[in-house]
Amino acid sequence: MTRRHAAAALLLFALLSPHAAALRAQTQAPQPQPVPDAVERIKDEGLNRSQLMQTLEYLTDVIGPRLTGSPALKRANEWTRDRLTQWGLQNAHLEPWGPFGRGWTLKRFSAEVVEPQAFPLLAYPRAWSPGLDAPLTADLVVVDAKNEEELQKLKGQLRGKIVLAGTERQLKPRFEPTASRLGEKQLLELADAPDPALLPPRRQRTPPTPEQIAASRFNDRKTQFYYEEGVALLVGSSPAGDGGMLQFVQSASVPQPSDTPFDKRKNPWEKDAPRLIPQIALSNDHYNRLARMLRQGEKVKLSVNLQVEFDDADPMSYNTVAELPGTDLKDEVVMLGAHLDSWHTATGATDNAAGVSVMMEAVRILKALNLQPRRTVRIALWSGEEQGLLGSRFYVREHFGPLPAPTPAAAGTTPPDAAAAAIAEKTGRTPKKREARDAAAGTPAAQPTPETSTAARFKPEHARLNVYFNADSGTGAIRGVHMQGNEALRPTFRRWLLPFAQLKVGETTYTATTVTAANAGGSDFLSFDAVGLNGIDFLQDEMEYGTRTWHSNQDTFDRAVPEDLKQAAVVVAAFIYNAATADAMLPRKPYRAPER
Amino acid sequence: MITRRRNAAALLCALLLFSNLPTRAQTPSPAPTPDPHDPIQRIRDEGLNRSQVMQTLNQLTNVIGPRLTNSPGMRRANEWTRDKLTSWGLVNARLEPWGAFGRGWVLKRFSAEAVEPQAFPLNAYPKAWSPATAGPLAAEVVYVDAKDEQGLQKFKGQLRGRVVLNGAVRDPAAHFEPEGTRRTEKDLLDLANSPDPATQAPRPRAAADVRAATRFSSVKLNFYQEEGAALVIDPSRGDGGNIFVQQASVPQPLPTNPQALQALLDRAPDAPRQVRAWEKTAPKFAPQVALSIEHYNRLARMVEAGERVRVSVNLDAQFVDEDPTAYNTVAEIPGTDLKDEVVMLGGHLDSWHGGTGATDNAAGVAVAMEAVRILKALNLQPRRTIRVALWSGEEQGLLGSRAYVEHHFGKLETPQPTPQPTPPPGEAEKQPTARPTPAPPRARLTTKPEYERLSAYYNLDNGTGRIRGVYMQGNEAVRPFFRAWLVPFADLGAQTLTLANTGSTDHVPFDTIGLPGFQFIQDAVEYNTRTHHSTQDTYERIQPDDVKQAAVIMAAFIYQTAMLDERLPRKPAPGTPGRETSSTSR
Repeated sequence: MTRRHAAAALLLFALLSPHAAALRAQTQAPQPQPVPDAVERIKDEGLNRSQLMQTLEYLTDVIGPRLTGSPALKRANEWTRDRLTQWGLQNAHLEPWGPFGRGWTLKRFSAEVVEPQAFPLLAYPRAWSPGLDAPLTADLVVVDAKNEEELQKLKGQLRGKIVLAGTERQLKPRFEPTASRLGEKQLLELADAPDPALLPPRRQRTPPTPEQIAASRFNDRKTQFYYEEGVALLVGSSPAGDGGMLQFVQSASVPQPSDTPFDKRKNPWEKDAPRLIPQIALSNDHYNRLARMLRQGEKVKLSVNLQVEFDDADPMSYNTVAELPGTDLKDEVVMLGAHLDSWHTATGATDNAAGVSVMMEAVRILKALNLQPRRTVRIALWSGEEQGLLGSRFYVREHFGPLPAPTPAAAGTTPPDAAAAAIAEKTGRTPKKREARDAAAGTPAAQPTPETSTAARFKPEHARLNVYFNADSGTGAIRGVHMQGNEALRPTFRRWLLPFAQLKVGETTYTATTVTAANAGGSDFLSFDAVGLNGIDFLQDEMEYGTRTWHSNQDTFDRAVPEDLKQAAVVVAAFIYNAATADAMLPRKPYRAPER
Repeated sequence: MITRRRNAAALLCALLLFSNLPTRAQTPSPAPTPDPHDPIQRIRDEGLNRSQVMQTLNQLTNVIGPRLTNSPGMRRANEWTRDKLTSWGLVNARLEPWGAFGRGWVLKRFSAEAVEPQAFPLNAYPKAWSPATAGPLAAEVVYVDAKDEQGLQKFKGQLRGRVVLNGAVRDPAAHFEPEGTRRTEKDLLDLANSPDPATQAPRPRAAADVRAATRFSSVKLNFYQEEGAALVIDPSRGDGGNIFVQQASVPQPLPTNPQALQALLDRAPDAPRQVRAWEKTAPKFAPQVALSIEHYNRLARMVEAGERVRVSVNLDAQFVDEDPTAYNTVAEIPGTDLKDEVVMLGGHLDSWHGGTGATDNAAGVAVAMEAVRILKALNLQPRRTIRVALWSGEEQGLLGSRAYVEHHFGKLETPQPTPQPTPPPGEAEKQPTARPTPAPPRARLTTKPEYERLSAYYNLDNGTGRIRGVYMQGNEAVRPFFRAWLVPFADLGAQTLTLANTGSTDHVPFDTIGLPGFQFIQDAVEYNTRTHHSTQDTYERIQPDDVKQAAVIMAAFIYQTAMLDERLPRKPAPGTPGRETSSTSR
């Protein structure tokens, strides 16, 4: 009962307090009529003349990984800008944000065991790890000291050595498939989900026990010891994945106490980051074997070649932005976007060249059909997302309002990845993204908080943004849409989804009908949501996102499913067209002042 | 007949049980406590509670590592298993030479990277017995996507000093089915109901498209060799960073005789011998590497997109020629009153080189070793001599066990068919698939005295999965014995007896000459999907509870076979009237 009352109240509130811009929209005349068969034409263009896979292939196979700050990301920025221009979008440009920090590009990498027997290691350097001055061949040691006294016994013995400093994880057979789609049970739960504001606050994490604190401190001490002793290379383990898969091999670790608050943490891409020991991570199969060889008393030697290039020429990073200008409501804006940056161990195909390709395809479809929007449609391809939604947060602050100055650290670089790694650690399996997001939610760093609750601090553009749509959950088809707690969107979204109740693409029939009040998490729409704007994420099928591709060395073009992505592009194009041609702006949820 | 009588008996049992139910319910009797002096109970207890099978596996896989036939790793495993078996109290532990195999091969260094237009490490593995590159090789990649010989022509003059991507890209699909499985009731029921393999049609010849593909692979390899390619990269089957990798293929001319060519493409037993990479007579050829499908596809697509792709590959491998002889490890627990008779068990010690051969077949070796350790630890004295044999050369065609069987037990010789006159070349091209099938010639079995003294051989070589039953290889007469021996293991999931054959491993040479050679039915776990001949065949994939269960059941079977008054019944010997030989081995 409570739930229904609250929802009704919300709806009433939304109806009684229309935005000034929306009012203005209704009073303007004459109104261009929306094209009646627009959605059918969108389907035809998007399914029969798609260019989505070409976009995706170029981004992944040719441009490759797009680490924030790297020349490859810059190349992707420029290529997308030019491509969008070529399709007829206007005002395509790179919009700077920052400063971010250093670029990093892998120049050479190989890792091998050379004694007591030779085999190649499946490994990857951590991003922003320094290179080695020359190929390094050295003994591999494991430091199993339990206290300072035992550590001191190793004094003078680690110089120039390679230290095995990860975690031996027990690996389990895969009796469950790695791929899945949302089933009726999950969709029903989402459809029935209450306004997240009505849910009891998330349980705070149980504070660590004194033993855990002591263990964590000693770990920090060990790391410090490696630096004091002149260790040549740190070899970690992949936080998740098994077999040929490495997952969550991300940034190099900067030596600092693990209880350093997020906003005080140093990141390896910062110009004044301390000098690091080069860091690589091994596949869990190989890590475990080396650990067991050492335990059996084998003397193990590795040979590693790691050359990298840091790029300090331009500390700024860029979002690619382009527009389809509107007509009678051209001062109002409908945005769509996805992040262009990726991690470095594969080609960032599902995270998030897929989302970029879907969004680019959506505007290409509108332009190709010459479907004229009334509001201006603006596409933004973000960067710095993987380092904490940086590009979108800077953009939102610049254009709309008073987010606190984003610092990379404040945005939190670990959740939900850290949460995913923690689940993997505990259960021995790779968590699904939704699970990791749930586990990570409640971490203050995961949700940007505005510094003030005063609406007056927002910029004029704040009143003119209708909605921002985001796609960042892999290759899966769109099955519905998150209202992000804004119940007033339900009738509109429900209507916009009607033409997608059954959509046959190739051999697959897709159903996109679910509107959920549940929050999505972990991507750039949060930057909009945090300042009271409609920041909307689509609900996508999981496919193999959490289990295989997300932040892994398996995130390649091969994992992209063309039919799913084409479906997604036509749904997005229809939503954009609807949002840009409706008489009224979409209602917003009441702006909730963040608790400081 | 037997089946019907059994059903009637089962029905009667069920009726009796049913009529007893109310009484039983009113006066529940305690479950019978297992007799602690029962040897089978003791075997269970030792094998499940004081197992050493994982320690054996750890040493074989993590420390000794891959055990390619005739490599130093293989030799070390031969010696370590011999010494370990001796330390457990087995006698007569030794390395038994089985013949001249060929060259050993050991990887000394390997790395592969894309270096232009951007750098990333490649997840690749050299093929076994591949020649080395002379130092790091940095060269441009050519994507040879030719579908036929004509398509190959456009690469003429393009390959000298280049790295060849050999074959079309392949799309790896999302895994909506699990890679790990256990046998379902339906699988087991199908096996339980399978007919006598002697009544089954012989294996059909290779399909036309398979033969064409085999032929084209060979043609391509010869083309690359003639054109002077520096390195050949194959796309691996599998995905997710997994690489399935075996031996290098030697480029060599295809037979000109159409019959011989046909036999080769059919992989017929009378096919002409091809030179293998481990033979000293193999010609020089370009190094060969297998690449994970994700990386293979990316390189190919980059080339297609017009990128100039260069890779750097460093492959150093050492060929070992000191001793071309290969060995099986053999050891015994001597019998008592029937000590001249023998019960054998085994697994193969050799492996491929990409992983550490954990499920193929350190698992089988560790289980067989554990089975004899259990018997020895319990001091269960067998009547017949128990002999464990750890084979080598299995991966190259059951070579170690074949040679052993021939040396100790006998040989089935199929006379060579009289060669047909070679038709003129034009004639053969007109009918490339028409190969007259001559009537199978009669085989001649020659046996040695030991032939009569072997009761049975038990083999385990289908990965880490627990035992679910036994393949009887068409020998219905063993059913009552095996049925009785499986009774104590109902709670461990091993109950199914199938008349069906299984092949492709070391019980086949025994079975071929009419000796009782058996392989157990196992759960697949991830054998075919992930570990079999792949870089992921590591210790991680071993399921400790499964291999412990297998060791207990193997120990029980060995013990039971060794204690019978009689040898296990045999099928009619092959080569005798009324029995053809062609269907017994598969």
